[in-house]
Amino acid sequence: MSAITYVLYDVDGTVTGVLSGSTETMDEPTGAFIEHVGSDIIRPRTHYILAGVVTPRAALTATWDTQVVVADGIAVATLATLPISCTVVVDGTPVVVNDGSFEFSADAPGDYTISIDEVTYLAQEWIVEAT
Amino acid sequence: MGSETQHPALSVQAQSEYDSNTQQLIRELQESMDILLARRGDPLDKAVTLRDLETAGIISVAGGSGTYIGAITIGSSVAGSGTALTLTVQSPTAPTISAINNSIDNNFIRWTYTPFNGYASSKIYRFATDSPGSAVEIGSTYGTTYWDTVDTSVQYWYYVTSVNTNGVESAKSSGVQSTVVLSPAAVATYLTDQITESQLFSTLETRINQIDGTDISGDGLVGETFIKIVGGAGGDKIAGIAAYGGATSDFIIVADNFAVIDPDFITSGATGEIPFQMGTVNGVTKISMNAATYIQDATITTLQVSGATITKAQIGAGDIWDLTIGDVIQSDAGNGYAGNPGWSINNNGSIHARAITIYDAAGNVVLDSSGLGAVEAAAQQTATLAAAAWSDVSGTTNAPEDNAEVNALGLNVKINYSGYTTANNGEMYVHGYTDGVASNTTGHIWLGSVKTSVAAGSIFGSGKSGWIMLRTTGVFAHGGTRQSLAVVKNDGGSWFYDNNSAWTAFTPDQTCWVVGTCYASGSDAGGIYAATLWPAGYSFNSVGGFADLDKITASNAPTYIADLAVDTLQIANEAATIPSGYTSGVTAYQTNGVELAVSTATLQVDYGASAPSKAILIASSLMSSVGTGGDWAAANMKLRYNTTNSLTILGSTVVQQVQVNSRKGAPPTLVCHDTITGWTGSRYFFLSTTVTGESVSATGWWRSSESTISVIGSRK
Repeated sequence: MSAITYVLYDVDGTVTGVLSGSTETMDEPTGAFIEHVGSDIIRPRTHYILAGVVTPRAALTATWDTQVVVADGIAVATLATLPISCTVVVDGTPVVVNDGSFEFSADAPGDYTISIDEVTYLAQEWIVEAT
Repeated sequence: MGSETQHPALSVQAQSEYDSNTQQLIRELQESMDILLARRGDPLDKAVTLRDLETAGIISVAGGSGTYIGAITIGSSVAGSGTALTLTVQSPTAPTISAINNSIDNNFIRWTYTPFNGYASSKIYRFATDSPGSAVEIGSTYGTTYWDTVDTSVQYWYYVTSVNTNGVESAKSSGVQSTVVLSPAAVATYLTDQITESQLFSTLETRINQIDGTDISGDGLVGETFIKIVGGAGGDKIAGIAAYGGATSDFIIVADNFAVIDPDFITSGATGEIPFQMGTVNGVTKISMNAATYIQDATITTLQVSGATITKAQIGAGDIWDLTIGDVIQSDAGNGYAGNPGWSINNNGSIHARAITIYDAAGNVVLDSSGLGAVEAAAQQTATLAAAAWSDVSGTTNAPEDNAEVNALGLNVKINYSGYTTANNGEMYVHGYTDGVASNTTGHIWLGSVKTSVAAGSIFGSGKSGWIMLRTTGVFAHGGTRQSLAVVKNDGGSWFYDNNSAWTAFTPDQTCWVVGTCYASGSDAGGIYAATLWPAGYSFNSVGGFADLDKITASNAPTYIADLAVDTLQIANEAATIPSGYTSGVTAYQTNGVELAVSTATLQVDYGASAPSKAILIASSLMSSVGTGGDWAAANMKLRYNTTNSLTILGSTVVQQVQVNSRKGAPPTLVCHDTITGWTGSRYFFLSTTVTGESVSATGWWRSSESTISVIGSRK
């Protein structure tokens, strides 16, 4: 009896599932997968596949200059030091950022959920308040 | 003067054929003849014959009768005209033997006589003693010498007479005895005794010693002495001895074949009488020894036997290094197989010995023919009967049948197969061995370096685990046939034995030895499932407690296992397996009221035919929201499975489900679990969720960002 872990992934390296167990109780999965050797815990949110190797997702270094803005459509909160070319999601709406800096402004007051979930980075989410 | 006949002198070669005395005589005769013939000396000494005088007219000779002259007339050649001189034949007188010379095979006699008219001859007589009257004539001669060919190793007396022309013989001369001359055999004997001191020997010895410097045959050998045999089969042959001319003295026999032969072989021709040969024997160059010949008291540093065949060898004392046995080595008493004495070691690794004792460096018995010794016991791994070796119970003797393969220790135990339907199943039976095979006979075990016999028999029990104890005095009252043995335990310092129904207190003493272990299911019905008997016993106070080790109690809490590798861990008779799990990644935002498989793949769990009695399943889904808001919705998660690898919801089986209501901006985390009966074959588990808005549409609100399924089961 021996333990085994299969890591399933898609074409861009995103881990879609982690299957662990005994070779006596389960077969190899279908689709793209690699067999992971090691005792560390692999999860889709913490790892991705880079050139066939299970790789930890890195932490984002992006920072806000402020997370409170005036809801006048003019005031801006800037999220800087983003990965070059990434997708920033604002309340479910994706925005592609190519210059490493995202500027947020709002016309209506409220809390806005802003998240980034790039394959090679740990997902991160912020709340920006528009007053 | 009348004509003279010139006679040549006798040649030296002719003279050299005679001995020195004869040669001297010849020389004297030659000198006399030369003087008489005027060949040397004064010519006046020349002899004048009657013929010379008659020819010179000095005398005339009248004819007589016979061989003598009738009358000689001086002064006239005419008969009657001169003075008549008449020579009268005189009577001879006895001669005198002047000398007797001799050689190896003859005596040479010389004599003189007084001249007289009418000398005719001399006669020679011989006799063994000085007895003239008995002497026998052995010859006659006109001269005064005589060769008598005779055995000169015998002394004889010789006599000589003179005889005139009238046949009148004189008296015998005085006798003269010959001297002894040695025979050739006697001379040879004499030489044998004397030659070592002779110059000849010295010369030859010098010559022999000088056989050292000439390479006669040009082959590098010097000092050669050879015998050449001409002709015969194969042509001329040379044999001999030689030596090298180097710094060492090497004695070399030059021969095609060198042999030491019994002298009887020369006459009998028996081949068995050639004890040693070297050279070409029967066309093969080798050293050959007669089969009846053996080497005694010899040292052979390196012995090589071509073909490695020694039909029979006897090594009295010696060291053997790196001995390889091609087939078997065995004692002359036998090979040690059943019914045979002695011992044998086969090249296949089997060793048979009827009596063997192995000691350690301290002289302790490690192993003897009846089992392991006490010293070995400390290091010997004990044998535990595996389940496959459990044996059934004989219906007649209540003893296990001899069908279990067990390690051949001095004493061992069989366990009655727990499934046996008659009484005493799951109990033990101790036994010994016969020729290494378990049998219903006495075995032995070492107790304090004393080999102790233990009779075969049953140890009843009530399914309890503990030590197996042997007491050499007293019994355990458990009803079995071997009450010197019982299952015991030490619980809190107190000792108990299983009396076939319950633990019974007793007080061990120094005659009580712990000799093994017994593991049981805890009930008489379940019986013993493993047991061990050791080759040697240990004092009862040298072992710890064996209380209720068939289960872990609170008293065991301080005990933990560290760094232990367990191949198969049994929990309640089921083998634990590695938990199975599946974690899915993020899925799409869900449509209001539509059930969606949130597992991106199935989790297969297949225990085969060994389905566990129970399996634990845990499932969870972490929901995330697309936005904020106070609208309520319900999230429902179902743990499902298919019997094929499919995420199809329709037709799948729901194991467990959970539903949670929450606001839009605070999606719930769904968790469910259940314990179910094990299954055979594969099950493919997956999760599905349904998001339903309560008063508004929940389309696109929530999704599963991560879901997990875990299954914990075991195997029979």
